[in-house]
Amino acid sequence: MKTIKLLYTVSLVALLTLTACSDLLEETTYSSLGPTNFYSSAEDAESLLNGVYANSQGYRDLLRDYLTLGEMTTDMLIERGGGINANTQPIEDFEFPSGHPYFQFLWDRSYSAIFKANVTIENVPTIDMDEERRAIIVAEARFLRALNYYQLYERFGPVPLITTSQTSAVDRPSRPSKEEMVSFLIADFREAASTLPIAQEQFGRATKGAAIGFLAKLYLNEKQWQNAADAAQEVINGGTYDLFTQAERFKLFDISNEGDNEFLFVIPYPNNPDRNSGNTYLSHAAPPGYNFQYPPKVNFAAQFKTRSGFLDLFEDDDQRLGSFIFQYQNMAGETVQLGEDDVRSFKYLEDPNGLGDYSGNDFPLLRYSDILLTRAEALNELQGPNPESIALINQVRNAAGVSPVSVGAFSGMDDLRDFVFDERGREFFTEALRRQDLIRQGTFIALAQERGHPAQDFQVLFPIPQSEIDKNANLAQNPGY
Amino acid sequence: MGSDRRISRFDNYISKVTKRGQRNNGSASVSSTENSSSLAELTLHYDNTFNEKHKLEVLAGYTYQEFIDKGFNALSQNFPTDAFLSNNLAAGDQTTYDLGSFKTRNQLLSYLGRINYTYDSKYLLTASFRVDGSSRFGADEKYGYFPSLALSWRLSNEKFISDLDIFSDLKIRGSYGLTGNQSIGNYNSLVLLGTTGNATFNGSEFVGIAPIQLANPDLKWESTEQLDIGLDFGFLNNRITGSMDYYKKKTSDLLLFLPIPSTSGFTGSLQNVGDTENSGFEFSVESRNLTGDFKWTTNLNFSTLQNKVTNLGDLPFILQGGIRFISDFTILKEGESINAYYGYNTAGVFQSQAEVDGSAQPNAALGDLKFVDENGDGEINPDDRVVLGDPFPNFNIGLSNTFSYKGFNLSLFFDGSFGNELLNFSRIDSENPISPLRNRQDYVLNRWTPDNPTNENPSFINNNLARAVNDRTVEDATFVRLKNLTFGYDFPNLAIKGINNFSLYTTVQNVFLITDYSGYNPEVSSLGGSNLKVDYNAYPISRTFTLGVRVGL
Repeated sequence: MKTIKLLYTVSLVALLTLTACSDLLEETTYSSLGPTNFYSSAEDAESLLNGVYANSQGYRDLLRDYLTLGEMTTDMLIERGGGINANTQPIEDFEFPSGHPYFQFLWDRSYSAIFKANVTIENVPTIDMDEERRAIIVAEARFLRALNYYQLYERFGPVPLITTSQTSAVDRPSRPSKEEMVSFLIADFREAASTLPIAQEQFGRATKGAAIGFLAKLYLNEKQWQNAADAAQEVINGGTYDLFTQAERFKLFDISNEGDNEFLFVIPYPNNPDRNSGNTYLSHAAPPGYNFQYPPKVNFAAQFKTRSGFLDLFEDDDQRLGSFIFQYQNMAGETVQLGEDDVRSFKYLEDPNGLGDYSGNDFPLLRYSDILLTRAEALNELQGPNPESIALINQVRNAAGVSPVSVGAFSGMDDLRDFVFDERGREFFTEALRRQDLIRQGTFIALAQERGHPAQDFQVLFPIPQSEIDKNANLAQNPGY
Repeated sequence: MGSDRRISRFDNYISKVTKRGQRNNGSASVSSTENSSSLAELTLHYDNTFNEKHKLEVLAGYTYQEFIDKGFNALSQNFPTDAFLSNNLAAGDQTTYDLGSFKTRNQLLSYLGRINYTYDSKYLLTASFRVDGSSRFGADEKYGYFPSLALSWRLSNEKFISDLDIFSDLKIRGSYGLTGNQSIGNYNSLVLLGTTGNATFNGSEFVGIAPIQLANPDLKWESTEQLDIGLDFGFLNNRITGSMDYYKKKTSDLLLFLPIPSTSGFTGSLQNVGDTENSGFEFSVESRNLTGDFKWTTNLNFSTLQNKVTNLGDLPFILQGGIRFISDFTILKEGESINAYYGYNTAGVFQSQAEVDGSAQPNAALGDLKFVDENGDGEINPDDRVVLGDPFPNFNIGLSNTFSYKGFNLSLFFDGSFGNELLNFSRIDSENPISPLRNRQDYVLNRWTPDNPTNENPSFINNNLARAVNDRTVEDATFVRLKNLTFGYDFPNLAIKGINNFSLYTTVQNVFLITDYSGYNPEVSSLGGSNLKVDYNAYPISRTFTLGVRVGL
């Protein structure tokens, strides 16, 4: 009897096993997509591209991070108070610890965008859809890949060039030479520019002008003066852009003027920002007890303050001074004067739709005035003071309501170079370009030493994030760190 | 056959009158999850005794389990009134709606067989074999094979032992086996695409989709091989009983969310990486020292633990850990304990400018901490980090003594842990406050000043968060604690009808602690049960005094 029962059960087990064993352990996904049910329609192609933009555009604290690295290392900006002082002070003091979270964050974010760009560049060409749009999607992804590499290169020097989405956990890429890095960037910006349209229906997308504009900036930073002047001229010839003169100069950054054709490329923030999608700059810049125009707003303990020495560069009638808060009425109705090294930049004017610590102001990455000053600077480096450079500088000065300058006012190339950098300072404060400019001018380290910091020549580059060095034996740290 | 279903729902409303609710003019959310599992189990059981001495038990079986998790959540803000709480989400502003839902499934399938065989209550054998399949692993790696064997021999039932008349009980045990671990999330072996943030065009947001993890088709079972040898004994009619055990446990193909170079597009990937080894010796004995009117019983436990990473594949090391502004403070490295603390050694405080000039920290101020230039390259950088200790004790001791005389009884329980370290985040906060207004610990008063040229503490003027994990903040957490003391009296022979016994007692928990650790509690693990152990603002253990009456009816 026992034997019969045994046989019976064994055969039942065997039956179940035979019918089931392979399918029973198959994984089914419900809330996420796999490669077999994606990469197939025009919508999929747009969604992939959106993913690249999402990683290349804004996040809450982008301005904090960009300005800490781009301006607190210069004569423009300091930060006092708040929990973030633990992160901002070592940057201001030229310690540049390789474990600093901002280095890591920006590195990770850029490589995530680059990976997504590679996925788009590889998979979209085989999707059956409108051919013209398909080519533009690939070109937009290529532009964003180049832009992320440009930002990495600007901060860390040459970085591993990943051009495939077939990455794996065991890859240990090494760094290219400076020449390889630069020619890669030139080729990618050029290739993107050859397909990108002059104008896009939606503001925030990459255009031909943006690609050539960043190429001009790359040439300028590389001191390839003729190439820089030519690329800038290419943008000027396109006739797509002009300077904002419709109102006082500082109102260019009012939310109502977003999308103005002075902007070649911006980090856009949405019209209805929320806790995830808004930018938090104003909460860092507002002085204590500041009475906001559109409450309720949050005012952080952190205080972003402008150095008084930098403000001395402005003439009194410069409309761009309208971006600064020199005094304010606090909530108690008292007038507070902001003294030495305490003036605030409110370049991105209060957003009526902003709530709490987030607002929807775009952050410009490249403006037409930068194109004009790029050509002016490059021509001066080639020829010394010349009428065209002066005319380009005067276009920017006219827009700002300050008197024009003349060729005769400059004793030579050095003199005009210094003037161009001062003009760039007046034009681009709170846009995180100062570090790059001072490095090009050759004054970045010397000025830091003058401010009493132990800056050394190698610090024109930031250190590669320590954890990347730890994870990748083939990745060499920048010299000096 | 069986089925389990658990449904939970979480409602939350933040009122407009609160500071947080004011910002969004009231915020309501509801989330519900449903976890269900179904089980099909077929087992066959056979047991029989032959010739009175051979006892045989056989089990064979097949099990299949399916787990389905589903969830839904919704958020709505900007309410006209607080009255609805979370019961009318539609009353909020439509533009604030935030919805989410998910469903996942995983399956387990096992074949198992087990044989128990006993001969004459002297020899015992258990052998088993399992084949476990889990949907969570790569397509060709779903199954793991896990055999085990255990043998024991009750020597005290042998004539040659019982003739010795020493042992009242004696048994030798040995076992060896493999077990598997599949406690990871679902779908880790696949390429998955998912939403990854929004793009903004013309001021509006558009959903982006991208691969959200690297595929790992080789993902497989983590397995643990364990060898155990033990001895149970009893002497003098079981006045003294106890056991001794030695074990060695080797875990291979560890399932680890491995940090990988971000150049891959991802910062980590779930991989089978490396091996770890745990071994130890455990000894426990109970002795009834006195059994007359005055009774005294002693219990002693002693255990050692050795734990190390034995293989990390081709990786030199993995750094882990992240709390607030401090990250990468533990290391996995061949030959070291799992998650050993990793940081800098200090060597006192800079007392003179000459000392600063001749050091690896030429920019240091007087009164700053001096760090050890471990690699001698003339500068202090992350290459100078070393292993500063680990959270695993070399040995633990537990000792309890119980005394009783007539109705009185007294018991004391000590426990102790030796040779373990602990990273003290409260001390990091005190030494490197993110704002000068933060609270500090009292030893900061004895800081370095030109008038107090101590080597014990720096001036605390310059923060150094990058080197905050050092031999000052990784502390020796060896301790001995009198954990429990109880004194009581049982009233004998109560002449009250209906009450069988009556006693009074007093208990003190956490009576005293002997340790050099500067935090409140050397035993704490603020990150929960993981082996990444830190003291991060842990609440101190209280000392409790209890007076009690116990009545038995």
